[in-house]
Amino acid sequence: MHPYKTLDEKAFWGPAVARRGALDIDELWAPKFLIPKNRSVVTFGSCFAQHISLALQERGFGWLNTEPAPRHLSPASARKFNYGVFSCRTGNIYTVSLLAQWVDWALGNTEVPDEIWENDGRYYDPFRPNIEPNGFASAKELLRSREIAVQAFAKAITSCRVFIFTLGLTESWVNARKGYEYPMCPGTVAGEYDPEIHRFENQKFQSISDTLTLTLKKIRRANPKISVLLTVSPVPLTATNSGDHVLVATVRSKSILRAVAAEIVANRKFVDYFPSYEIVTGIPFKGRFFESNLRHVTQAGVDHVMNRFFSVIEAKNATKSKWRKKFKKVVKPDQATAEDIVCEEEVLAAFADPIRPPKP
Amino acid sequence: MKICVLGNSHAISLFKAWNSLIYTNPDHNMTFFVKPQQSLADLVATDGCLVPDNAELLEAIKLSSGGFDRVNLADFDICLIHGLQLFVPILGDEFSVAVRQLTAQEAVTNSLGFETALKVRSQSDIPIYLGHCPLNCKGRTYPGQNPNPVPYRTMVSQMIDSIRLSKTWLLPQPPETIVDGVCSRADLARDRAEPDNGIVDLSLIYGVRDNKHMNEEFGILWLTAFFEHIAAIRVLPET
Repeated sequence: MHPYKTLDEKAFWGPAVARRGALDIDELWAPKFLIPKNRSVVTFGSCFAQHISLALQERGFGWLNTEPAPRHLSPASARKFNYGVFSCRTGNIYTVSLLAQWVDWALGNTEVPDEIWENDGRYYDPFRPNIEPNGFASAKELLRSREIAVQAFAKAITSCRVFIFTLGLTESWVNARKGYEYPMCPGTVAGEYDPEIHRFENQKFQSISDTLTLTLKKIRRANPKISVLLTVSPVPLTATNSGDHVLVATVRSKSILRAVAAEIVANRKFVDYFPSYEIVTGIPFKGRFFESNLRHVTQAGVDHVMNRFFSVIEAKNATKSKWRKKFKKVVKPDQATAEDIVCEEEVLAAFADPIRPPKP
Repeated sequence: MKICVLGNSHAISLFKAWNSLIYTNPDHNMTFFVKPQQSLADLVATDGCLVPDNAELLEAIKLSSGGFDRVNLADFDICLIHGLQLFVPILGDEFSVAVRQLTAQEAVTNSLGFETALKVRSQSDIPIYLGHCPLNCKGRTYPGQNPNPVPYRTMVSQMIDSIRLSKTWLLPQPPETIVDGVCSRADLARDRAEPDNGIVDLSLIYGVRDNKHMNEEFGILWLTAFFEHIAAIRVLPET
């Protein structure tokens, strides 16, 4: 008898996928660890991670916010200033190397750079270019805000029990002289692009894998109780600087990130992967979870991903119902919807020429 | 001046103060419409009045006002709205100037106090004065509160500037009641042993270790400043 005789139904495309309604496909994920409602969870990463933040809050999970907005600021205004979007005001952390940079700053391994960008009397943070809608009033205010965010990130990674990180991009922009990375190409949201200083890097599998391995080691050393849940953002690239067609570049980027996640998860009990990427982009769903621009994930898509996530989590938690009795902390869900998701990378779309003459 | 006072538990210090000031201020007559917490949200604006929409609020209104079943705004020259979730945010430099300004603005516009002012204005053209909830007494801080907060004067100035309602003003807390730039004087906290004031026993709601509600002395200082303010407004020449 060969091994395929004894496999579960979920191992076969026919019964698990083709002969099911797309929305009935289940058993996509078997969590490695529990996420009880009283467990403090932090969320960071690419745009799609913001949906996870919201969903955790809405369902009463212990989503940890280490840089809360002022108590009297409305939820809508708080989001405009990027409070409550991630567990602190890092802005989008698109790449693994950016995550490594934040971790090194937070743990005091490297100095936080003092670079700032000024434009028309307003000051912009190169590492969080959209964090204040109109920039900061002064350089001092910006640096203080950055310092607060780094402290809050340190608190997040050292005090949480579950760290959810969404991998977004492989394409990155670095300061060739100083060695640090920007989340956005200088000159797009703010700042000024200088080809002598600003270098494009499309990161490769091995370097991403090595960086993530090392970064998780550092986080784990700082917080031995931490568990990590990786996801890959299903949101395609807005634009690519790779020279490839953006569709090809998107598949390259997501494939590498997905492969890195698989490798990292394979031999670590404390690291898991949730297949939000597969749920949104998978063949059975035929692109139904994308808006008409084929990039934004619809609210229905987000809801389906989150329902899949929480149904599995809650089923697993139910077997440990005694943990629920200890639940104390309820974070009020804020009013945000999918439309409110903050995605700086989208600014690149503004640079696409809508009427491009056909190539001869 | 005939003054109606709409407020919650914070207005009780004014209520007690008025009982002391009534004989020295014969030009004024104050009528209180008070119920703790956010109960005045249930006042409905109609026919020139604010009318309680439930029996519990009606009872509280009658008790505190001396028998009125509604706030008939035509009976008053001035409306004073006190407390009602109108707080002064005490924030430090961990927040940008833009965030602090927006918070100050929303602390006013999203408060029950301002909502009540809108109701009053929908029915009457009388001047409206807003008094915010007193600053917490010295010694009481929140977890994570910045040890070097922006001074009260800065925040309250931004709140004053944010009011866009005709003939409506936010009055700052009297300077002599403030210490360290952001706290009320500890000796002005509600006396834990004080008797029931005739409206409600605050100890039943807020306990005896209450540093948020003020005593009669605070109320006297506040009302004295208020009377001086409205007197100054009255002597201003017409323009």
